[in-house]
Amino acid sequence: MDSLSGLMDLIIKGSNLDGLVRYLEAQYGAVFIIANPWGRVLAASDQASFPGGSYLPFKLPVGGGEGVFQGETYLAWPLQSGAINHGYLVTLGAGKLPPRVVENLDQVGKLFLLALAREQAVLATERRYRADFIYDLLYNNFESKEALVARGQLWGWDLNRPHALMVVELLAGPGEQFRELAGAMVLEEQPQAILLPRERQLVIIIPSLEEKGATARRMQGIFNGLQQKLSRYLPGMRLAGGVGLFYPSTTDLYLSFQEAKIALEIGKLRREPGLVFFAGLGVERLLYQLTPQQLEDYYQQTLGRLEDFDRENGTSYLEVLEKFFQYNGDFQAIARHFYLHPNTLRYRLQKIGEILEVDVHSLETQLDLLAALKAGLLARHRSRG
Amino acid sequence: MKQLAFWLRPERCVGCRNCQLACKNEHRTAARINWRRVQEGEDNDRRYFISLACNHCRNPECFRVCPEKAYWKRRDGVVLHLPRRCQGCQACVRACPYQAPRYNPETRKAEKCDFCHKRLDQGLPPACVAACPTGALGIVAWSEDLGEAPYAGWPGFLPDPALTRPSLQFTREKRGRHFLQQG
Repeated sequence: MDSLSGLMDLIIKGSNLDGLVRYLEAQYGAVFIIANPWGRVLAASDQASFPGGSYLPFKLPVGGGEGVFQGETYLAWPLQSGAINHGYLVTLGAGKLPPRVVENLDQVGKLFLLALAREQAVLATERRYRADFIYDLLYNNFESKEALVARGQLWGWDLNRPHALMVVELLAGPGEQFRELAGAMVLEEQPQAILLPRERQLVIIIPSLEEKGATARRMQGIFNGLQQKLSRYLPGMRLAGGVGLFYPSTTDLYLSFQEAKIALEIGKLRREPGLVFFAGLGVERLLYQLTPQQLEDYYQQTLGRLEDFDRENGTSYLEVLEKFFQYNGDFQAIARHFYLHPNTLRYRLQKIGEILEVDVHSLETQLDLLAALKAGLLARHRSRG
Repeated sequence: MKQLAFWLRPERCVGCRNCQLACKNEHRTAARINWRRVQEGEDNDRRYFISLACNHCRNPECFRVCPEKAYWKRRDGVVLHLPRRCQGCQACVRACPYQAPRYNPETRKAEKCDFCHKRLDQGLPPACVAACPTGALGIVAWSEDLGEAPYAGWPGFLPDPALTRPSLQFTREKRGRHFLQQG
């Protein structure tokens, strides 16, 4: 039986990709790897050097081709069906690749495309069932906690333990690669994470930690790590995230999901979107419920005079006020920001009080001014749509 | 994930209230309770009739505020209410910006539009959609989150869709079939 017939025989018998690449290595004496379109290893005959789930240490030429990596020659063959690239069959050998490998690559590639498509169909079905389960979890579609826990066990998740939830959204960058990469990156750090990709969003659910504040720190760590790693692969991408409240029971995860979405939406309105915790939203949570007209009215009544004064006199008192709150009233820090003497800032703050006819040192006034600044930002964002 | 949505073309609505009656007939709601209501509003100096029921939002507030976990969302995006869990606290009635859940003093529970899910499961459109004689009310299935796009023609007199992201799509027709135009 020649190598191609042997390969076909294995596919008919239902062998997985790992079995197929190992068979090829035995036949041709070269390392064979199946990678997805972004270079992630799906199967490799040399598991020690190229473990499944890792990324190839060399860049795959678009549309396939030859290259050299650490003195070894590799050949990447695109597994293409029509215009869709399903991945690459990569072969790697010391020195020049044997002619027998190169000659048969076209036919071997077609057989692998078939095997890959079959495996992807199985994975897609599994993903769909998993997504349905997570959807039910996020939309309160279980009759009881027992039913929820039992279904979770089928997927290897212990939903008896409390879990925390975060929604991450890609604000700028390619959505398809984000979905592919972000999930794999989170699972690398958190193998127990439950993930649900939703268009440009990724819902991340992790088991809560017992130590106070540890879950929030873990969430922040995942978000920062994701941002750092993704920016290497997707330059110019921007992320925003929202975290819901932490509940002791997984039956309340649906509440956490709704809260995380609200935190995310509010975070997107901020100047520097990052990870926003629903628990830390404060007054923004109330402002968000108001209509743009109500927000604009409140802003104008509270800070309209200052805005007019700045426009008529070419001053920037509004910015001074914004920075005053941003730096928690720390005159030294604000002074460094504006390259001014702290006393000049004190004078400017006094002037703001005179223009608005309020006592800027009163806490009640400061609450009003901060709320008005936030209301103005929200109103402008909403009116831009 | 799929999300079913109501689709309104206000220029076609003549305010006949057939949708409202069909809904009442289908669900046998109490005398003063209408799950679907036709409202009048003004937008860009023109008066419109708008037929509104529960918008089966992507971020439903009723669902978030209910202390009894009486709301759930099907995989097709329809938000349903479980009367047996409802204690009649009316938190959902107050939270919904569109006043979709209604409190029934006879049953002492909240109730709302269920997108005629039983009809949907039989392959039929909701009763209100089937009853609309001008094609002003329809349904559409969003296969993905369309962001702000469905809200492009959102009338100014309705609550801001940014928070709850209602599954309600408006199509404004420049030269539609104008059966009756007021003002």
